[in-house]
Amino acid sequence: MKVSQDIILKFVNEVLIASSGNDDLSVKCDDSSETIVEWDSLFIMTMASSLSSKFNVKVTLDDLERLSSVEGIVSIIND
Amino acid sequence: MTFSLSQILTDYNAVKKNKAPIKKVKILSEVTFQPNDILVDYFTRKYGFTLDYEIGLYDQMNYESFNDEKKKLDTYDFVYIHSSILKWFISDEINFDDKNTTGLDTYLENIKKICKKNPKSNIIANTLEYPPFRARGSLSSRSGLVFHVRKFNDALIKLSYELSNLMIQDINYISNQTGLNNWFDFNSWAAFKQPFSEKALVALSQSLASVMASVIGKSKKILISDLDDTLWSGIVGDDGVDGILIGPDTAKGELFFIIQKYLLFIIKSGVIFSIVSKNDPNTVNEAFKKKRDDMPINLELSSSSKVNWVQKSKNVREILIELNLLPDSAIFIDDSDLECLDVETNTKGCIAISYQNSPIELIKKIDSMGFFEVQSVNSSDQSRTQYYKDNNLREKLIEQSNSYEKFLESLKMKTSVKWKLGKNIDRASQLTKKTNQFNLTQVSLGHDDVKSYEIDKNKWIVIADLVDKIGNNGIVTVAFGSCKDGTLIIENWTMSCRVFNRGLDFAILYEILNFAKNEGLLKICSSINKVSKNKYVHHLHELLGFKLINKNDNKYNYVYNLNDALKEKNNESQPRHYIKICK
Repeated sequence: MKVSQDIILKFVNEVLIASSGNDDLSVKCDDSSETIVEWDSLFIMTMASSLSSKFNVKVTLDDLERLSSVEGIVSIIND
Repeated sequence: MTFSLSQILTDYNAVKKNKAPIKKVKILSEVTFQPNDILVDYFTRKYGFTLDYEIGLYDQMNYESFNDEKKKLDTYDFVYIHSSILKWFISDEINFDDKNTTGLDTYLENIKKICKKNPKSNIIANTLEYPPFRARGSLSSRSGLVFHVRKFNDALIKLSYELSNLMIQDINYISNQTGLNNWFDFNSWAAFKQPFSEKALVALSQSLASVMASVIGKSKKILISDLDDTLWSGIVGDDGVDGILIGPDTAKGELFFIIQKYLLFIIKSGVIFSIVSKNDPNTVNEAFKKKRDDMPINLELSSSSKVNWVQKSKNVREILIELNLLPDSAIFIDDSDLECLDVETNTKGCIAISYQNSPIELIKKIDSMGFFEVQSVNSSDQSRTQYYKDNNLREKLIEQSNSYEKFLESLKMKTSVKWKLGKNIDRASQLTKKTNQFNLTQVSLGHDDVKSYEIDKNKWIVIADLVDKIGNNGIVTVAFGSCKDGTLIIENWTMSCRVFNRGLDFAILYEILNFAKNEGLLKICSSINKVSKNKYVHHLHELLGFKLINKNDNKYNYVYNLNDALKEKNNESQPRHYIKICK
């Protein structure tokens, strides 16, 4: 069963706020490391570690590039 | 109480909005530390403090410790020296053969240098995990990386006995407990030089938070336990004394025996133990009496027992008041989720733990959270149960006395006031760290700090015990400060909650007055940093006759003019105490 984009977006936003400390962030569907300064390698690392317990997804090295955008994260979880 | 990384990350944004005292921490890590920073802060908040990090650059420990003179590590509350075996597994610095010098020897030497260079810092270093692979199989234990890890860990632990500011975080044990196959995340290591799996990150952070808490005396102080299906199997009121199971004769009884044995270890480390149970007290007494040989725990170990039909949260609150303890110092265990909910909801700050499938979960949860982690166990810790039991006898004496003053007089109290600490250095340090309620400024001292107050001519430190006809309370108070320009400055003064309202504060103040007078000093300056936890002493200075000079936010500064004090010495309005001073 596919996870809704809203749930994924909410989780991405929460992890981004936690890892960056910037409470004002509000991630949108088309956001990525290109559009959000706080979307850095530490955030990508934290996302990679936390997807397993949240969505039961094991991130491989091939997936890492896709963790650079909301669209990519959605595809890792749902594909 | 099983935590997942994703849950912590999403909870953290709400949790971090709660204000808590800040402790500064410097991370010197040989591997990428994040996202442990978030996780450790999440867990330290369960002990009532939060962390302000300065995370050193990856693999720059030596540069930051030795080459960058501007950065004094002494300004941090904690310095965490962190590494993982994965860093060494791939390193050429490790010699897989039995040569005398390996990279790990140098690493250990650097830890030693950092500790010596920064004697005032609380330095925490972790033991190393066993490696994820053993190219030589069991031979690795004799001449491979497993051998080197054991050797390093043993040497690190030995070093912590030599250096009082070095504390150990035993990752070797935690990784074994988690399972080495679940410990490492090779993808994360390959991509980010962060070696830990999600499970490992959570376990490592929980453990670091509990070590930090124990270093600054924030570990939990009291364990309050239910009885039925918590300390023994069955319901004594329904099943009868012979129907409950405890001890090696039955499988269920054996499980609860393990639980009691674990709790006994905790109690013997200085944790106060109390019982709260909805039961008939006579039945419970009979159960403890009849099953005495099968139970590691007995009623005498309980500092205060509430066996009745009253709401459990009310009983818990009453015990905490009786023992002068704060709710956030308490852990409550019970087989019922409902009772746990009642206690957590109505005793804010107290953590309640229940179990779902097996009672062993109770001790697994307590253990994994490290709630009762300690850095050392002294004689005072081992006698703590007796101290509190003696206080119950004193409470009965109060009821029998006509007045509180008569009660104090009847106790025939004596105190030995010591300006030389002898074997009591660790106890003095512990009092500055563990005491919350009678703690004027929250300035705490490590082992070496205490020594410096004793040695330095311009500083002073005093400790005292309190003995009465009921028993010996042990060393219960420490005050320290400096002398400058005709003024004695009290930098902090702490007192154990178990001797509150006995007049020891007056007795100690008069001793400090005499000391100052003999030193030819004219006044005493003292201050209090008023926080919610030290409400008990918010008006102490006024009671003792100090005059308020000024205040700045929560800090109130007071003065005590010795000339006035000496004039008032025979004044009957001066507060009295009933404690004989022994020098």
